[in-house]
Amino acid sequence: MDIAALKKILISELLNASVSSIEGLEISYLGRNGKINELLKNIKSLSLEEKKTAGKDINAFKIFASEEIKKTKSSLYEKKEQEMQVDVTLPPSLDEPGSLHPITIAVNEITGIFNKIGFIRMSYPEVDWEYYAFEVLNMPVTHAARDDFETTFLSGQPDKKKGKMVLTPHTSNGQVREMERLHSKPPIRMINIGKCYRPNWDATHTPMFHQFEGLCVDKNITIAHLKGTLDYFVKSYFGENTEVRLRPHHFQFTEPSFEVDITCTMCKGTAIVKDKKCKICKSGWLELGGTGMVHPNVLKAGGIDPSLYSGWAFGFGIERVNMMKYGIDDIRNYYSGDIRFLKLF
Amino acid sequence: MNIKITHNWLLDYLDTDATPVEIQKYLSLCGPSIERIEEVNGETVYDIEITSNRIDTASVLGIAREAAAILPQFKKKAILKKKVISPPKEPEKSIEISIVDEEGVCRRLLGVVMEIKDVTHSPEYISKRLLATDMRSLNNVVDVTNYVMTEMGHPTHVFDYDRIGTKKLILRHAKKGEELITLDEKKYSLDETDIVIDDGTGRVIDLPGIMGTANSVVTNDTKRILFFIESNDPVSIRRTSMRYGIRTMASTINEKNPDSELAYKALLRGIELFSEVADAVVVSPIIDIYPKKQKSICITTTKSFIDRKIGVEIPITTIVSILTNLDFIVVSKDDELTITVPSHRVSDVTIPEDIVEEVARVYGYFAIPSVLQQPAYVTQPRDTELTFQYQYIVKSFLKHKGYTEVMNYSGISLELLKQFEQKEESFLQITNSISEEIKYLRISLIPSLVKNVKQNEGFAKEMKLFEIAKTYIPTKSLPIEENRLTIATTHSLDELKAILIGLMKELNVSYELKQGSDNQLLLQSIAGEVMIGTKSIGSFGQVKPAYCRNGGLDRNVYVADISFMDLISAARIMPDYKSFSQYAHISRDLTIPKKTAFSEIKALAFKTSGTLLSLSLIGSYKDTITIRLEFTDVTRNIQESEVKIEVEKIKNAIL
Repeated sequence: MDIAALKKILISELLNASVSSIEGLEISYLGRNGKINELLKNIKSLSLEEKKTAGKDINAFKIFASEEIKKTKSSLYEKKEQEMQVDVTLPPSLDEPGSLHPITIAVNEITGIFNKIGFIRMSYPEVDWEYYAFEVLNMPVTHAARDDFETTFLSGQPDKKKGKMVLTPHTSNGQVREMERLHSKPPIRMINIGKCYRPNWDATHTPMFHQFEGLCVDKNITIAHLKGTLDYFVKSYFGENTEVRLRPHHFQFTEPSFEVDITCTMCKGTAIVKDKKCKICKSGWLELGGTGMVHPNVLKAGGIDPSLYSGWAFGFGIERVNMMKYGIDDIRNYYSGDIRFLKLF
Repeated sequence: MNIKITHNWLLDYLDTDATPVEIQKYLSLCGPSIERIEEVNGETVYDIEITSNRIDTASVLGIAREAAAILPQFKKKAILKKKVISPPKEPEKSIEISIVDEEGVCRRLLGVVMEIKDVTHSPEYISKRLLATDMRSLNNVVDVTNYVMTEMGHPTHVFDYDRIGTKKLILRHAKKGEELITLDEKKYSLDETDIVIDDGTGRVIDLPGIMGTANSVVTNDTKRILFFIESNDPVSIRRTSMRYGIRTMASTINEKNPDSELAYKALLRGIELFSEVADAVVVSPIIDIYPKKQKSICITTTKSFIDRKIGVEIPITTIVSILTNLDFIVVSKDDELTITVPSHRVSDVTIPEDIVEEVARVYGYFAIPSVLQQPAYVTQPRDTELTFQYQYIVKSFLKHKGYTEVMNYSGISLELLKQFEQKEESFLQITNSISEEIKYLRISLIPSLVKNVKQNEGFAKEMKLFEIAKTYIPTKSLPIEENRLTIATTHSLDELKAILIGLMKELNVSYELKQGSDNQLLLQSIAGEVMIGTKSIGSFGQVKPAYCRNGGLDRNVYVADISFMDLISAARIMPDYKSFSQYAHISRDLTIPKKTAFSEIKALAFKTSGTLLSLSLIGSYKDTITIRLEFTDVTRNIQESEVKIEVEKIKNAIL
């Protein structure tokens, strides 16, 4: 068959080609045993001069065929692809997702922030002696925080020297324990995160809650350092534009003692949200928690000479910072085990 | 505690040009926090938080004193109007009254008898101020006691003199079971540690410092009054008032150690007011029993100490003026400061650090710079570091596998403990628990998780939960606090094992599962242990269905209960590296009768063949199982004929 006829056939075949036939068509022309190779085989018998011309023609046809087939092929595929209609917004089939507890998320975030400035995370007993929970924190037996209404006592045998067994009402029992661990040799840079227990159970209190406690003891630690650290934490955790202020307060184990406020996360410290008074803050500020300079009696109890060393400490509630940052306001849900709440995270 | 005072009342003691909003702002920054300003019947009212160490500020006088020290720092005029009241003249003819404190239960006792014209309404300014500050206005006599308390900061009391028949007041400890009816007509049975006033006949006529009694209070017919102020033992006041839940303003102040010097000033102010509002005439000498006079305290410190604690240099003149405005007497010589503490501050200001606080707060915490301290290296115990590092890895893994993290209370109820046939004596107990729900400290997390499954029935088809928390195993001393990882699923044992094995893979732990467990909470036929070498790190299996049914749960619950510390001790960030074999892998399937646990078959196979690379389960049918054995040699291509021999060897070893 001559090339011209073959070309005609190819053109008509291409017109009728479909996605399913095009592959076969391509092979029938361009394959090892295809029509073009067939033509090449046939020129063996020709003279050299004839071979030259025929070869040229066949080659031109080969280029033509391969280009036309390619063109038809891509236009066929394109057409097919355009015909496909998929609703990409349909939900896929998924495994039921799990969740982390909101406390876990906050603990991870807080640990990371303090790690960056060289604070190591420690963990101290939740069940401890009155000695570590009160005595060494400058809270004598008569102190109000030690009575039945404020502290959770346990049935374990009391220790002759260290008193009764209690569920720690704060993470501050870790202060003197950390001093003891380091053989009373500062520097101390600790962040202690743990469960705490107080006998309160109402809309805003649960008998178990979490605190994170910072403790820094070294030579020449000042109020300015405490402010610097709080500033760093608050800006890292709540955002660059958050401001901190200290107000006078009182705690037995710090002197001076402060209450820490930050500018309200809701109204950004303006006390006004959409022309109305902000619902969650007191005049633009939110209370974060308590802090202060470590009381010399606490340093002494930990075997550290307060004339050589000084320090700061703070204890903040994790449930509280979650409320302030993420607006998770019903604290009772935290430990209720209700998956309708837990699945939200 | 919070107190309320009105702005106009404050102006009786303070000459200032500051507005209420300015007073709120500046006092909150440097002194007592003024939480709110309210308008009540035309009066501007401050709601002020008083910290327990600053009971001296729980009054109009106290706030005025703070304002006089603080406002000048903000360039506001503020001068304290000091009022000096002279004691009344001794009456010519004195009326009979005796106050006795042989046991020494009070630090100071003050009393004076007055004749009054009649019991009537208070003048408007008094009742208005009392109402604005959340107090009742009863009559001119009782109102004076509350008015003086709010103005001066010391609780006071008034008796109907004629209702004390014996004219005697004897302070003593109560007798066990002794009865008392307070002026609000409530009956209490007393304890030996309570303190009462006896009229000498055994009749109790007062619960001093806390509340008066019905049998001695002023009535509309009262003609003579005994105005009475005592400085109590703060510890005893708190104990008694908390025990009976009698939380009066008087007890709240008295338990915080108010100044016993102030008691006398309050008495004089009271006498002045009684004469103003009830035409009262003093008819007895002032009785003042004051055996242990408040001693003044002197603190020696230095300017450099103060600067070193604050972190900024404060001029000596500023230090002296701040302290002087707060009624401290300061003598400064070069760097040294000798400071005499005023009587109303002696229970709070005792060491140089307290002086630092006074200077720093009035100077302004906002004026101190923010500086991060120098970094320092502190070693962290390796296991502590690992615990925290891996907790998040494990929790995230389980979350991604569809598990929900739960945090339960550390204590469980007696009911839950009985549901799992646990003995009470195995648990540490809270002796003053706020709720029976959380009385017993957990020794296993399994009961809580089963409870979670039950409580969430209906909210999800399958329950997949986990918790990492401490258990508290009692010992002779402090309990062992051990972190446990407990995973629970209602889906299937297979699901549980897949999670468990996936977790081991995630942590690069080499483990084996062993048939059987001594965990009593698990069904013995469906229970196993997770072994690392020869050590068990925990158990897994199905919770005894009877325990679930006891709690009304008619579902299978599968749990794994792992010692978190043991798990992470075996965990590796990077698996042990072993290069893969470049040579041929040959697999053979083998179907054999299943006589022993799969884990044993596996152990035997590996023990038998040195070229065995892996052994996996293809399927099981009736009493047989099909396993796939994969062989390779890391040094050369293994031959089919060699594999055949290996398979035979393994077969013989197993059967």
